[in-house]
Amino acid sequence: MSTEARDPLQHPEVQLARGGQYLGTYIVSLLLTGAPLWLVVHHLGTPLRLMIVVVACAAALTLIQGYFWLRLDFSRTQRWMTAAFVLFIPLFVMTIGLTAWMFATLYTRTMIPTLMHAPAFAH
Amino acid sequence: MLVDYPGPWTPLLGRLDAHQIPLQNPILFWTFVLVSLGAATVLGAVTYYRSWGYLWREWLTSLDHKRIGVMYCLLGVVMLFRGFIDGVMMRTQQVMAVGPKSPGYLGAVHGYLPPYHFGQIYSAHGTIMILFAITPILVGIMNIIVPLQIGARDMAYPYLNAVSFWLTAAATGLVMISLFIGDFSHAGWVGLSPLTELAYSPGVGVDYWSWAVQIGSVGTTLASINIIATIIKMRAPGMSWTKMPIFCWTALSTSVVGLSSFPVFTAAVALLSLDRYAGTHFFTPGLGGNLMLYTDLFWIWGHPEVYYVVLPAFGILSEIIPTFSEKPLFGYITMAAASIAIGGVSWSVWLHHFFTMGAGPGVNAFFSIASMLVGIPTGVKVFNWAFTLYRGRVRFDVPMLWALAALVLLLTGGLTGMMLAMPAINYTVHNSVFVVAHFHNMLNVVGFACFGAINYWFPKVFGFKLDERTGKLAFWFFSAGTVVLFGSMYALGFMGMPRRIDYIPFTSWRPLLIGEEVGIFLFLIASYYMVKQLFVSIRDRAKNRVTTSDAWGTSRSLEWLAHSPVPFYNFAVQPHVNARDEWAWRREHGLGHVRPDHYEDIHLPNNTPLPLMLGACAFALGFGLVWRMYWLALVSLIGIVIIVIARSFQDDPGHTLPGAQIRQMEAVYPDIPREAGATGGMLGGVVARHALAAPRSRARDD
Repeated sequence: MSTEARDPLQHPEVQLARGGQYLGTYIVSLLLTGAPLWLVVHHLGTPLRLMIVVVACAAALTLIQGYFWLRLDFSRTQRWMTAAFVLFIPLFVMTIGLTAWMFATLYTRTMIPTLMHAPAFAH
Repeated sequence: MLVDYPGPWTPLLGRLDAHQIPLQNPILFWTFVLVSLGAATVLGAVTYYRSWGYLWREWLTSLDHKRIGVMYCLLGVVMLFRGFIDGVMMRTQQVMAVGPKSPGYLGAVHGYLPPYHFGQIYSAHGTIMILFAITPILVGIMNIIVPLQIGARDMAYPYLNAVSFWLTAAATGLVMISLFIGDFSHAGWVGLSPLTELAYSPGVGVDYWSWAVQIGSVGTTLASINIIATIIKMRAPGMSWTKMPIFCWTALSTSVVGLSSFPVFTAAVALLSLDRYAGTHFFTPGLGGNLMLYTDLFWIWGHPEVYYVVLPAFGILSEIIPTFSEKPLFGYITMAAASIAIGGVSWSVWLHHFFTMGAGPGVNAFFSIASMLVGIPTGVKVFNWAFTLYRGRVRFDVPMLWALAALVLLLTGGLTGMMLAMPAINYTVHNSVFVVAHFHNMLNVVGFACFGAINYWFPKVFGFKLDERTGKLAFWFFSAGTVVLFGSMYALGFMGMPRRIDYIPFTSWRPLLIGEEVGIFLFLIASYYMVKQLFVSIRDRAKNRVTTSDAWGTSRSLEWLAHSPVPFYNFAVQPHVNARDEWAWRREHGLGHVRPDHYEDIHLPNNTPLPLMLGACAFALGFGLVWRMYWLALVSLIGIVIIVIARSFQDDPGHTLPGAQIRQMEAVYPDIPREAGATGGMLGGVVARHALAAPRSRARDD
């Protein structure tokens, strides 16, 4: 039985834990999630601008949480997590990319995009 | 923030009141009576035989992967029966409600099921069969077999394994309780948008569906993580990637698919729940939302889910066919590669489920070609199975019958799948029962493989074989039912019959609808023989007991090295893997069972009731949210958080099984020789040492 199996606190992943960083990342995550929500709820900006803000906040969250929470790096302990994250990227690009392509062609055939946000629909 | 909905609400019971218990519906009333009697009988029997302690210690709190796997399978089989009864009711309604002169009963204008009740039944049938029957059975089989095939003592995370199971059980409980308290979704198993929105479905049916699938999805995602970690980290010494059994390759591929797709489903349904509870507009047309986004997100999970269930089935066929052909599997490397390829391609085909939505021709062409690409690795697998059979000494035991029939079904299901991958054909038959016949055809491949797997590995888990005679009767009636039912359904699809209709306007369809009813009657007979097979097998278990670890005499992979039934520690000493078909290699070299000169202590996890408690809290959370009993939801959520934190602080190092005790337990097995083999001082290296001296078999090992 290895040392970390006898004492879970000795496990290398647990050793990476930092309470202060966790708390700080949690607060930043709340801000980066709450701010776009507040902007969307109060319709502060055009749909395009709101989308850019939401995407930018999501990207920032991914990086911050990836580094400070998941501790993604190339150390022996963490490389599987990093590998899993890297393997996820093609799937992400494929699903989001193909979905965007599908909707781009779909909108031109089934609906007028600008009408979706017109006051007439906001009943 | 919370949205308004019609009907009364009280702080204590939320939307629940006495009228929500459908006692006035005779079908549900008598179902309730039957289920109550059944439950009372089971609980009474457990009490009479004073088995509560045994049940608690050995099953409900167990972290043993085999016990959890058996519970998964049991849950899946019970739900399979429930889903099957739903199917019987649908077929019967359709055959009764043909033409304007068809009579109505029990409040229905035609047939015996009003449209709303019919809608609930087809929604429950689809949801149950895919998510709560086939998926748990397959996860259960993987739970039992994967650790044994890779020579591990348990899953990588035994505690998480139990949590996954109890979350699945909690979700299943929600689906089942919707029969008797409230109602179930009428919006199809896919959650047809915007029918699932509160404006169109103000009852609790959609909420039952949405919370059940969300909780169940979390359980399945966790199970996928566990299987991946187990295969990567827990393989026995010597088991390189190219020596890993094919079933494990398919389990790995399917778990990657599950891990990457189930969260999309969970997120999509969570957004739908926000629409229904918090008043957001993710999927409400005209208010900035997009109902087609739901369909897109659903099928981003939905099509990989198809491969999630079919890949383990392919793995099962790859284990059964070589055993009963008495040959190694043909084309191991291509088989493994095809398993991974199918998982990879599964991510780029989902749009073929809604070709008719109106995307551009370029998009449809891309997804059409991608969908057809799946046929290449699948074709590779079919040819490999055919070449395995070629010039083999083929035996037609019950598992092999199921496996061979699955190959036939794969051919017809695959070819009709190719048809549906073409947008032009897809436009013609979209939403017809041709599509329903196709995916039932494919899910029958999975079902046949599961029945084959249960017959194949039953002696490994329980120590005695299932009865052959009744097993063959069950197989033939089930096969006949499949042909008659889905043959008729394919034909009706070509004739233009839409899916999900409770009334059939054209009397010319009646003969084929009768054909479908005959088919499902044959399924009923098959079900009778399946139950009888189990009964006869348990009754005659002494006669059917297997005395060696290899129940079939020609098995090949490592699980057949373990005793039958497998002891809780799996292997007395961790095996060293010398060849791809390790058990076949050992058998051929006379190394089947060699007694080690000494046994080392084995470390095992302790039982714990916490996963069961987490499942109970998850059920209460779901039930509270369905009925908007917010206090119950909050208390349950706090309970979950407390249990998770308590577990984190629990200092439970597990327990150790002393080597001397293992020696005593191993002494009862007749296939273990009394004399120890020459080990050269290597524990568990008995075979490794013999392996060095034995001639290598390139055919098995390269």
